[in-house]
Amino acid sequence: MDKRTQDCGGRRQDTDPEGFQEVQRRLNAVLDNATVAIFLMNERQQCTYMNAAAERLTGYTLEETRGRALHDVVHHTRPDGRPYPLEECPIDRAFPERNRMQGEEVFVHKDGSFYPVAFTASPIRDDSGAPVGTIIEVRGIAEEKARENALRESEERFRNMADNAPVMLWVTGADGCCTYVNRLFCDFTGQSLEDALGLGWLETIHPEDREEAKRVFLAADQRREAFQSEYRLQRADGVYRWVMDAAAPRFGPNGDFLGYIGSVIDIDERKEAEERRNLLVQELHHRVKNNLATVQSIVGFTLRNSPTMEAFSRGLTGRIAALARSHTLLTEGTRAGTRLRDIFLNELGPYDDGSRVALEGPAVALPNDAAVALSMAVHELTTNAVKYGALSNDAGRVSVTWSVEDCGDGRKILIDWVERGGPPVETPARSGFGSVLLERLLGRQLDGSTEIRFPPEGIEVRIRATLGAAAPNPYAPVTE
Amino acid sequence: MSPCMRGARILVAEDNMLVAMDLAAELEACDAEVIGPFARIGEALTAAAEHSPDGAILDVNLLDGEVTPLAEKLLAAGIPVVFCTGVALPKDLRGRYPDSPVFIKPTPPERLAEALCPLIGGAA
Repeated sequence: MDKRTQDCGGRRQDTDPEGFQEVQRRLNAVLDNATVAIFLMNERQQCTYMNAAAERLTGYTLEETRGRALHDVVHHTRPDGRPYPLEECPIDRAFPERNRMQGEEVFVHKDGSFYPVAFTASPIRDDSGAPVGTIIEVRGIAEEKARENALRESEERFRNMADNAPVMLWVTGADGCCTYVNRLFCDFTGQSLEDALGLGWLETIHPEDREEAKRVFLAADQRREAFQSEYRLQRADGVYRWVMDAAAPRFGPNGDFLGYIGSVIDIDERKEAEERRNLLVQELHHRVKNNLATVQSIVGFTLRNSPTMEAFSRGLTGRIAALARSHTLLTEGTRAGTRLRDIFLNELGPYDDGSRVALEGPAVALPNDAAVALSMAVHELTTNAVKYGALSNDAGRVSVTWSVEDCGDGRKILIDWVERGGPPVETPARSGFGSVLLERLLGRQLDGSTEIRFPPEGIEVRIRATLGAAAPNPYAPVTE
Repeated sequence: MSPCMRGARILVAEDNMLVAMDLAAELEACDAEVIGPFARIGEALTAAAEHSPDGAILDVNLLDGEVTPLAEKLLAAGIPVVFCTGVALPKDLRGRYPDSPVFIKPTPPERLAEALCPLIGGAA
């Protein structure tokens, strides 16, 4: 130890033996207890001193390096095996350039292994300022490097996972600002990572949903709680899609809050199916109520128009059956509505042997309410024909023809019901129930008019109706 | 039968025409004069202005929307209204029109007539 210290001083000890020894003792203590390796080199770049830490780091003793160029001892070969010429070494540039040099290099241990180091090389000057040597501090950074590598690797692994995940991911810092979004988020929204950072990602939320999404986030952020929210996110093509955003707070090893990590999935289809189902349930509820009300009315007016209990029973069951049939039509109909032809076929079909009923007209679909109303009216006409008209004997015929004309915002429909070959017809003294029903039902509900004429050869009914665009039929099979 | 209906002009708005016909027949059986039935608010509003009814029985959802504008016009003119609804929340309706009876479909037409009866002071 003493020998080493003597060499680093360079002054004679006899001028002030007591003071000099004290300084030397302290310097010795400092140098040998330092954890950083310290080397001194003379003006010829030869090693004149190394402390205990330097011996531990390099594997060499001072005796083994003294008088040799330090570079040739600990820095002679590159990690890839190529020689490292002294002229290229940045550590040794400090002396000729009279400048402090800093950086990282890889040294060779006495046992041949390589190890990374961080160095600082500073020129030593004499009293006149001329460089007389170099002091080099070196720190082994193998552990640091390993930690750094592990961190980089873990970071890369996260990014790799995040970028290949089938969901959008985002990360915010403790201040609530976005610090990361994954590739799928960028692909989905068309934002670049830079666009999304900070508060940029908020731009992709539907303006109507933005405040609420922000509120949910800030409320959760204050309590450091996990949260879920749903909002519309704009896709790169401009279309807004409903998404679900689920996020959990991140905490450091000491429990300090670091921000959130969240995942976002596109739930637009699920949302749409949900809405459709809710609408359907509502519609169904409405229909059930409406049908019960209809049945109640049928009971009411059948009772008012039936002279006997028997007639009441017959009329009621016939009408309820007709109502049921019209609903069967609704479920079989297309989404555009119920086919007009099917409404007539439904009522007249049972009385047709192939020659007694003729139906002629273009394909046209009626909205549900109109279809039910017309079905009931056709039931009344059919019942009347079976009781008194063309279908009450073996020879009569019922012909129904219709035409459709598009006009402005709707369609005009003209339907002609003509009976022939039945018993001679007499004009009734007062309007029967069927004609009242026809007039009111079709007149009001179908926005049209009904004309009933009673020539002796058979009843003629002309129905004019105006239909708006057909409402979608919620009962129609989805696979249409 | 509600005798107080005799000679009263009752506006009926109901888009289910079978229900409307039954209600009209009941009112006519009580010797009331039926204005309507109407399936649309627009037609009913015009008729209300022309015929100044003594009372009204209204379905809440008509073909062209909620009956609100018609109901408000009638109530503002002091014409009593009875509601019959298949879908709207009765509580909400009761809140909006505290003096008007609200019935849920299906309700027999005579119940509607009975509810309207005491409200038509003049024609009783």
